[in-house]
Amino acid sequence: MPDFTHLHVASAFSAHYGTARPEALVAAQKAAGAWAAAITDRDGLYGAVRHIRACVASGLQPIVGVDLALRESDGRPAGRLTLLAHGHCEGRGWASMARAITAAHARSTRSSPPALARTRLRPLLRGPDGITVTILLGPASDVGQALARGEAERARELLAWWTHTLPGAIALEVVCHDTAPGTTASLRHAVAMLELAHDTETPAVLSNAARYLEADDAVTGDVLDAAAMLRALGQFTPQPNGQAWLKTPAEMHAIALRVARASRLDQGAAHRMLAAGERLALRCVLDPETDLGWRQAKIPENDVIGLSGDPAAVLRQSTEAAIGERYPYAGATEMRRITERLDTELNTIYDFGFASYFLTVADVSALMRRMGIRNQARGSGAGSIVTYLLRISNVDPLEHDLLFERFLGNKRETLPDIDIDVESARRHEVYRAIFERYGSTRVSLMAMQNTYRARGAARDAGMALGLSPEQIGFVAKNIWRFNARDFRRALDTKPEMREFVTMLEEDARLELLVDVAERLDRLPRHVSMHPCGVILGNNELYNLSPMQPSGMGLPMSQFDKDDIDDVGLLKLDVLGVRMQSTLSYTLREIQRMHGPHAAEVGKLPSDAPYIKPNGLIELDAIPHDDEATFANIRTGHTLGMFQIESPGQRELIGKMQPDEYNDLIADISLFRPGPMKGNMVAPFLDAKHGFTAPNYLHPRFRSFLRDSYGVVIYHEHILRILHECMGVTLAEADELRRAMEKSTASIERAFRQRTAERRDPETGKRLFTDADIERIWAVLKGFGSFGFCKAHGAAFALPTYQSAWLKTHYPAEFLAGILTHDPGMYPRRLLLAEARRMGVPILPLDANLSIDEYRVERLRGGTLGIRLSLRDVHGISEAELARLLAGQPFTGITDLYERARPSRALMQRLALVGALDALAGSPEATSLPTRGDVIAFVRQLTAMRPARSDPDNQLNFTIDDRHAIPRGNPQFTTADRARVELGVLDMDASEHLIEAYRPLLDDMGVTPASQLLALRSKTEVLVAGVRIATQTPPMRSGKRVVFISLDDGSGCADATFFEEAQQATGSLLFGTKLMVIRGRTRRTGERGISIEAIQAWDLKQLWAEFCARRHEYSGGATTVKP
Amino acid sequence: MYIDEPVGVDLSAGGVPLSFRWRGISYAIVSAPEPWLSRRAWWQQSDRVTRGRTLPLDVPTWRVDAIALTSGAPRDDGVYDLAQHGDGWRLVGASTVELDQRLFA
Repeated sequence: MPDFTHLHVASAFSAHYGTARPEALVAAQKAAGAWAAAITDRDGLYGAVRHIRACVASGLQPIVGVDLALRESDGRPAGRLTLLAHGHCEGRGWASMARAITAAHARSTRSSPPALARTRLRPLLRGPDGITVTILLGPASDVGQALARGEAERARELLAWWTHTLPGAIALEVVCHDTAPGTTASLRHAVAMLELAHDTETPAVLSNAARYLEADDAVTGDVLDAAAMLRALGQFTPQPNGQAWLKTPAEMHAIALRVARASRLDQGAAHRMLAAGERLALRCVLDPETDLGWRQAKIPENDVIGLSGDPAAVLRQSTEAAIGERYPYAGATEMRRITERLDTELNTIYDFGFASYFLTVADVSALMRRMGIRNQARGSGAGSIVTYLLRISNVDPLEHDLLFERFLGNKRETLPDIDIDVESARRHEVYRAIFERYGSTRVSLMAMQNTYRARGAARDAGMALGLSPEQIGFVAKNIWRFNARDFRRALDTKPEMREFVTMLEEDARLELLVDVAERLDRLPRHVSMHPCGVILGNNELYNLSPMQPSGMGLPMSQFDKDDIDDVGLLKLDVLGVRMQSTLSYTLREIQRMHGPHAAEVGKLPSDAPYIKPNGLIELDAIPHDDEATFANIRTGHTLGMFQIESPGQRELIGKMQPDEYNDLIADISLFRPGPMKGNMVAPFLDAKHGFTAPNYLHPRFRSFLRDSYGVVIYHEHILRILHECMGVTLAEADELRRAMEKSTASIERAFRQRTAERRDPETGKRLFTDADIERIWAVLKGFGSFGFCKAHGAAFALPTYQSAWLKTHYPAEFLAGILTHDPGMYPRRLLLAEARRMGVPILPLDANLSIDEYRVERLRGGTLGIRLSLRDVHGISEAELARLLAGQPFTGITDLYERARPSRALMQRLALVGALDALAGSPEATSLPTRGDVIAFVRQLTAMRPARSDPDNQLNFTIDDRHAIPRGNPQFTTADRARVELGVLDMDASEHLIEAYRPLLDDMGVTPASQLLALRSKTEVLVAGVRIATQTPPMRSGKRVVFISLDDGSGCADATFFEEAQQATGSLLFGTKLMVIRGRTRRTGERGISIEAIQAWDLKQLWAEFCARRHEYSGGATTVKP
Repeated sequence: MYIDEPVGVDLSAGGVPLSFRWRGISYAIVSAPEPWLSRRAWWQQSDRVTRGRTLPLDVPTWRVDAIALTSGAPRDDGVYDLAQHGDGWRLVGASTVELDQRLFA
């Protein structure tokens, strides 16, 4: 086979350009007999690490370059170039390339794509060590374009500039796609390039400027072009033909010969061009070890994190020093467990050389604590006593029997992940502080590659095919979580796609849409800032990773989460969690409202060690066995409690009736696809409720399976079982567990053999009989690959328990926190209903009392209520909000209008929703003005003149305008209030929206959600309400089940739609907001009830029909005349 | 200019166009035909574009210099693009002095 290395290859990580993933491109080149493979994505190194990884795995030499746009200093485009990094030069070629890419992006925005300024080429690429890159000038370069225009002399001048500016770095790239004679990438154009190279003694190399893997991908390329242009196909000049695939070496050699033959040069020109290409490839082959420091950790230098001395010694010191603080009451036995565990962990950490890594993360964590920001480690990192002692994690691994080996085994080569949840409202503060502390040369945000799923694929396909926005909207709305590649199958099986199938018969373009959408499946769509990833590196970070601007102004690396490990960078997942903001807010409200009385108000012991004298609650120190909290959880009123408020979770909680912290960990771990499919739930519940005795599989397992009543749920269980049975270390057990995730069968023989060999050292008897082995293996086989990391569950359960605890002891403060930070899955409307249910009054919006948060207020008689926030008034701007807050208190309506200067529309909305009522009433007046009076007055006021904006010209005395308020306008009814609240606040604080349909609901005999629990099982009912949640959770059968929850103001009705009901409901399933559902009640536990749906309707449509019928009826009556 | 009309094409033994008839007039090809690849607008012409089962995007096309042979027709040289769609041929482009004059007069 002849050698040919493709030096110009765009992968799918050239967004909206390439069609194939790097792994597929590498595999194809390997199959074609290549020795090396290159990737040169447009504008960046988004696919480079995957490419290198694929090359290493398949034994090819990796080459990496980038395809960049060039611009003149005045911004005019100056063609494109391909820059290839030289290899085996200690990363200098790579660094030049990375810095050139960063420079190209420096001033890029959405409207001006990245381009490198011509003037920057020389300073960027001609370093003190000489030139370490090669630039390919191809058909799209300034030289190539001049030749395509027939300006041979201009092309020579341009080329001369290049070779003068970057001597030794320039090669001409000959591309022949057999386009129309004379045009770009035509045979004539290729010939002209080759002849120019010959005449100027510039090296020429052949390339195919590949953008797809196979000829068939050209159609996909057309669609990506349309998506990039935001135009329909046919409305722009498409790619000239479909020749840009990864041709075989033989095909490329044939092209070389054809180009040479068509030129005035001798036949040797073809071979010289091919040989030059292979020579260049050789020069660009990277050594991942020395050029990139492949998989070698690069973390901030010791002095940056304030470390002097040996990191290992410092780590031991700081962890040992924290034992007293974390385990203040530990006795001698426990202390021995603590120090033994710590020793084991520290030894592993030293062996890996990860001491400074842990200190770095601890440093970040301490930084956040100093800023007073709640933070909490998540994931398997919670299984470590080192992270607990360093206060990275707040989960005590000894309390929950968590294993360090699950977090950091023996075999790990790369840095482990530690994820930290912080208050979402202060997340950007955290990022900025990290940038400040470690210096902007070592920190960046992380990129995230968004890929096409069905909905996005259908949208872009529809746009490319010229469908109307309405058609596209209709299709996209009905697509519900399936992969684009399954599109056609979804048409046959999913009831909500039925209408689409009918449309298919009418509009042939929709057939194309389905095919095109399937082609787009999983291709990268666009790159954005990862929502929580922060990259920490050493001072060389910018030589390793290209950077580009991010939405929040801080630099973002082009590497994503899958790249970080291989390039040895530290990724911190600093995830903004609204619940953390809620918890923080609630604690502040408790302290503000109650101070030293906090314990008393919360019905907690006055000497509780976790409540400071000033009322500050140390939430991470509250006891985990508070019965009041568990009793509250067991009622199923879990709204607002982190992670256990969804309909499916409410059902599980109703069945489980948790009464200890371990139950919460189990609940969260069980509510996942694996355990659901593996049927771990039923045995757990049966054993917990004492219907069956726990089955511990083997007496030796009792000690560690007690936390789950004998059901194997956690990875930690698997580790211990393998450890007991096979006599392997826990670290080895974790490796076996990972192998089992891929294939359970892979360890079967070893398991059986080694378990059978285990003998009691004293008696010499076998520890496990053949029957034991059979039984244990059956469980491992069934459950082994589904389990969940308990450390993860324990960390997850912490905010769940903390939120439940706060909701139980401080309901008003907690609901105020939730309303302010909006953390849950439900709309505020439902939270208000929950407040009503719990007897917490909702206080109306008041221009003098409301602020930008939901605040707790003490009413006469001591009841605590929640005052609505001005922030949620529709259309209020930050500036208006700030002026309102600064201006409080106002003496009257006119005073507010003049000093806070709200827009006319906002002023009227404030009046409408009653925020000005209190300003209108004078205490001495006998009758208060009605809402109608206030509205009429505001209308007069805003009609007269625009709000004052000149502070110097302001009246320096206040007018009492209360006498000016007109009287005699109607008072608002409760229904009126609900209507305007919905419009102005987007929630109904006074009454529920559904009440407007009351006549119909009464006529139909609809059951309020709050009364469902009183019904027998299998009663046929109708429920109506606003859809608040739709879920398609994992199911044991693998069949799709749709959960829809409706809120009707009295509570929440959860309906389950199985196959038949989905069919009967069709496109309403996902397409309508106000619903009526008919179904049968189904008890799901002591306090749980749900509805098994039969069919559902659109309430608005029923209402229209109902009104028409009523009209007909009354109309009929009047026409009956003698 | 873009034309897209059916034409009859005579081929050599090697499959290279020798002459063609367009609108009743015969044309003789007077230079070596230059092969290139034009493309289809599949979104107008195809009902389906299933992955792996789609017609090739490319359409083999020849650029030829030709003169009209039929008496009475203008004797100008012209440049013509002949595209091979399956079994049939279509004239997709033509540029002649006479056409140019008619277009830009």
